Amino acid sequence: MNLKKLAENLLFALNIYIAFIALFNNSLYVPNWLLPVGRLHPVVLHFPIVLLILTLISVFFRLRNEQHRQIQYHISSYLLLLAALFSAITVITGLFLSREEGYEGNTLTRHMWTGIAIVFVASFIYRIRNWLWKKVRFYKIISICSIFLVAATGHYGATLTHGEGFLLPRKEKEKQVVAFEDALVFDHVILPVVRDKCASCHNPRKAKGSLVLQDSASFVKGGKTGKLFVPGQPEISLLLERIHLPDDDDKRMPPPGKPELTGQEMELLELWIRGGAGFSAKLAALAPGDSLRELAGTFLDTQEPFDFPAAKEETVQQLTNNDRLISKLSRESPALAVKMYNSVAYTKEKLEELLVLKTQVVSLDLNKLPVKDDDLKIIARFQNLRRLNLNFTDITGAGLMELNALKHLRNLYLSGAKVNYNGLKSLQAMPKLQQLAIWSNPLTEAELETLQKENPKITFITGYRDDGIPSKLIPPRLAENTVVFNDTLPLALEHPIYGVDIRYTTDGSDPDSILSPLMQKGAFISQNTTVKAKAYKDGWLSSDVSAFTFFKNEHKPDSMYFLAEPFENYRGDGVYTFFDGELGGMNIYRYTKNKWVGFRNGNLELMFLYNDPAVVQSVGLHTYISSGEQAFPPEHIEVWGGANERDMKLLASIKPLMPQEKDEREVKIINVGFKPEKVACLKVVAKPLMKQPPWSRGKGEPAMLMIDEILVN
Amino acid sequence: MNRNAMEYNLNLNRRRFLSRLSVGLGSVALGSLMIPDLFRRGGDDAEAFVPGVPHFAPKAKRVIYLSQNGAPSQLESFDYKPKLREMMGMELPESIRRGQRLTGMTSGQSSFPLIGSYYDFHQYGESRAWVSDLFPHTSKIVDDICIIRSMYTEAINHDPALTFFQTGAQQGNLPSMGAWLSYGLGSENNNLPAFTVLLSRGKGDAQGVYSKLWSNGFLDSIHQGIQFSDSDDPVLFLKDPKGMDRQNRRKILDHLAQLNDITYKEFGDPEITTKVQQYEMAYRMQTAVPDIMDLSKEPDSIIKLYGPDCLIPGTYAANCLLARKLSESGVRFVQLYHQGWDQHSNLPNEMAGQAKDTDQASAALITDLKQRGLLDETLVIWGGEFGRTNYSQGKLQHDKYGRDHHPRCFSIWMTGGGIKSGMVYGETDEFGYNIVKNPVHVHDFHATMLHLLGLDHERLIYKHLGRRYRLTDVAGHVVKDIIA
Repeated sequence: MNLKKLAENLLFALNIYIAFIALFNNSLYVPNWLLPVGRLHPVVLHFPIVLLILTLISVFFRLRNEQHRQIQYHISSYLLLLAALFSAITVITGLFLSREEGYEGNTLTRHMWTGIAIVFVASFIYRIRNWLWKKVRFYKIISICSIFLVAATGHYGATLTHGEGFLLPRKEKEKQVVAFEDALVFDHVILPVVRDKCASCHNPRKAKGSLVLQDSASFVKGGKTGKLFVPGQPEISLLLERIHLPDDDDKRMPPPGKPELTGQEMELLELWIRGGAGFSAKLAALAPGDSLRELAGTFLDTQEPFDFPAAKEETVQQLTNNDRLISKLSRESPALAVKMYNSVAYTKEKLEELLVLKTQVVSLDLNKLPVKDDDLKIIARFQNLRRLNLNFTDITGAGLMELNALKHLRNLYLSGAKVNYNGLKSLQAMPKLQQLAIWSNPLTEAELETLQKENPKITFITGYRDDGIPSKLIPPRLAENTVVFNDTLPLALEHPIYGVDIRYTTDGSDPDSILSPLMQKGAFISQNTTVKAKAYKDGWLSSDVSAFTFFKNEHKPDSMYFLAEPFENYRGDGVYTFFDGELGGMNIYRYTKNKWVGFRNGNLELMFLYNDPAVVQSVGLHTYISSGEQAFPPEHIEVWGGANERDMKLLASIKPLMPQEKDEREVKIINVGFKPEKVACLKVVAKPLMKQPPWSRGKGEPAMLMIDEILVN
Repeated sequence: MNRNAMEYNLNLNRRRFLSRLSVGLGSVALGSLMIPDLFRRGGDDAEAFVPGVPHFAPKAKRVIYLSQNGAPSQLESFDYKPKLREMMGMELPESIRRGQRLTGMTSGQSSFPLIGSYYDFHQYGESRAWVSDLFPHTSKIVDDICIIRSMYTEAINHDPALTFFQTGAQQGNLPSMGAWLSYGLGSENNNLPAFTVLLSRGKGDAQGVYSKLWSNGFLDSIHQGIQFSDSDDPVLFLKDPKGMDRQNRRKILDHLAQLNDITYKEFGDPEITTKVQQYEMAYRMQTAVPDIMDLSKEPDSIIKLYGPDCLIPGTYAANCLLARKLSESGVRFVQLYHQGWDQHSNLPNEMAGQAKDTDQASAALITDLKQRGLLDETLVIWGGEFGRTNYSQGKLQHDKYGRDHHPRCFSIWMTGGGIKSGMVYGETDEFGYNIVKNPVHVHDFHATMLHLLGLDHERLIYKHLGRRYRLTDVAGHVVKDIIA
């Protein structure tokens, strides 16, 4: 029981001690070595809260059994004693803590007195616990009151640490919306950053280091350590020194655990101090290109506040259709943007229908619609327009003065419309116009210069101007993709640019701008021909020469078959490949779909059959030759012909020329000519090269023979 | 049957008990501790999200993405590293490489000789940005663009890297960013799809692009990217079949819609209404598309601007011109892919060809958008899926070398809607190997893009298979520094 007595006495002593320091609070001096005791406050304060609440709540749950109730009584009185003791210790530590810098104001006073009240109330309850135990109702009332007292103290304490309003759900940060022209550097850019990142510890309620960062006056005043900044000299300004200290430095601001300043915010503060740390300067007054202006601009929320009421949802719905899209600027904004489409369906009435929304529409896009000068009168009634797109409309300058009624208009796009100088002059009366697009308008350089001089506030978008240096045309191309023909082929070359002259030759020479014939309808070719063509147009450089080779293939067999199978990786479309009229191109890569048939080790052996005997005098093999890819011409070719498959004679046999080491890869026809012969049956045999020449990549190896088309004439 | 069900329910074993009760409760408690916002904002964002309306007023309304597929080398384009020329042929120091994983193509290489750019660099514009001589037209518009030299990604091979860039995940089959935008912002022109795709291929070594890159993933199929090809039939299956006229088609669609309506009332599957919408849009596209694809009415000055190649269907230049026309007509997201930038060997030669094919048209697109007043509201992005190594792949010769894949840093440029112009952002070390300042991850890039379009990447959410999906997964920061 000694321990209990001791505790009771201690409690009594502490009560007196607390009463004493509370009364003479202001004239007390706390030595430095005692201050750390104060910092225990946040640790110990949780004990009395829990103990008190536990004890006080237990009053409401009395046990029925008499014996048990006795035990409950004892336990609760011990708990109460403990709670009162801890309350006292907490209050003492709290009183010490409050001596440290940065704790001032009403909240602190309230916290202090409610805390002290708890100690006395708890001690008092402990004293009269015997009496209270019998007056159950009275005990309950006292318990409820005490719990409220604990809650109030806790709340004030938390407000001190976490700041005002920490209990309620945090509201979305309300950023002050201000137009760029009206924004002040300090009020609208610097102060919000400081409020966001510093004010939780540097405010009138809790001024750590006696520093308050609330307004310009408190900024100038500085704190305990001195002035915050020296205008124009960021190097010796305390504020910048503190925010730039390394992470582990005690004096670094913001301290660990608090939201950090971003690099941009630090840069912003530095630029502001370097620039003289003015409090009344306007952002717009800074020179364009000034770093502070540029950076501060990004902090500014320049989203314009619209003060007009939103339109009815149904009205917007009704007016929206496939040619007219009406969209909200953003979720909460009453402002609307309208974009209209379909030049065929456009009428003035469609614009007029929108007048129901004339207050809400801030952006109107009529790009490429046949808007007439007269329609501008309707447009002028959309009083809140900020942005108007009239590119490529049918307006002339005459009606533009109507738009002067649009007092908020900032961006006006007139590119490609036939707007002249006089029309544009009338736009000077627009107060807020910032950007004017006049690319591709009928304006002379001099007129443009005058306009720019007279309207320094407006940015003119003049766009791409032809520098007069002609550029090169692309070469002509084939209108139809046919290069293999049976009898005659209409020659059709084309060029995508309007008004281009195509001149061509058929003799292999390069086309000439005067002498070579012009491409015209009705031209045709009737034999194997290489056409070279070039495109010409005034104001352009003539194109490179393009060359197209056309092949005549007069006697397409009625049926045909392989006498020997081709190489497995190059089968093309089988035997039909040779007469499908499509060339294989310069890519024989076997995994891409291609039109090449290849032979290696085995001969090309093909049989062609004609229902009606044909008079034949040549057979041409369209062959891919590339020593690097081991594709060579055949060693020799034989052509056999006759009336039927069993009765054929050798018509011709040749040994084609082999490529040399330096030769580029090419595709060419290897032609076998002979005396005209009437045949119903034709056999072609070509033997791939068995040993590639010693200089080649595949020396000594058998070569590939690649054929994509066979021409029988 | 009933007995089985009963038995199954009685078999409440330990694992099921835990997963049902304690894990559920515990994770709520733990989650609220670890994620303080869990209860503050509730999980209702996905339900509260209204598709088709931005969260806040957007700076850009549309995107044109010029994807340079295969990964153009940053060291021959926008990241100037004179040191590499000085140290040509010397080994890449291990202090720089720091155990970076390599692709299978160079992991067997015994030496990693540094190689500087074959092409010279010069500074241009008021921003004094360094651009290589391969991009003479881009160098003229440096004051309009923001070059980011500090992009980095996670994947080291083309397909995962490209998929990551397009969908925010390497595995594929998630919605592409164009689909997300279509979902988030809706269409600006009901006669055209909100997301279109254009392909072209240069002469350089090419890597494949597949339709999974423009997939709608789990979003409604109306958000899928529609590929426009260079053939006579730019959009497949759009034309009426032979022997059917428009009136006929209209009648069919009307009757089909009635049938679909009945089915919808019976089953309530939202995909049915999506289908009806798609049929209707396809019907309207029949008139809108030929108009867009017709380049013959473009004036000579425009052809000169983009270069005469722009009239050859299927070229990058033609696609750039088409992109402008589509974007002008209100297509939210125009995705271009230009293949052929994978220079593992013969880089100086191949890259010159690639640059020649793309440089003029890319710059022309910017100029053209600007002169129509469209650049303010159109975000244009140029870039590949990762960077290339500062050492040579294969045998090193002064004018003949290759570069392998390098995810740790690469350069892209952005311009238009809300992007700061004339800016060079981020920095790599003098070896061009690691980022030393302002790194931008692919997720950051996505977050920034969505932000410019008025969408909060943390609130653009779609619930699918029991979890909430975002384009930026659970990462991404808006790069405020590059926003004007």
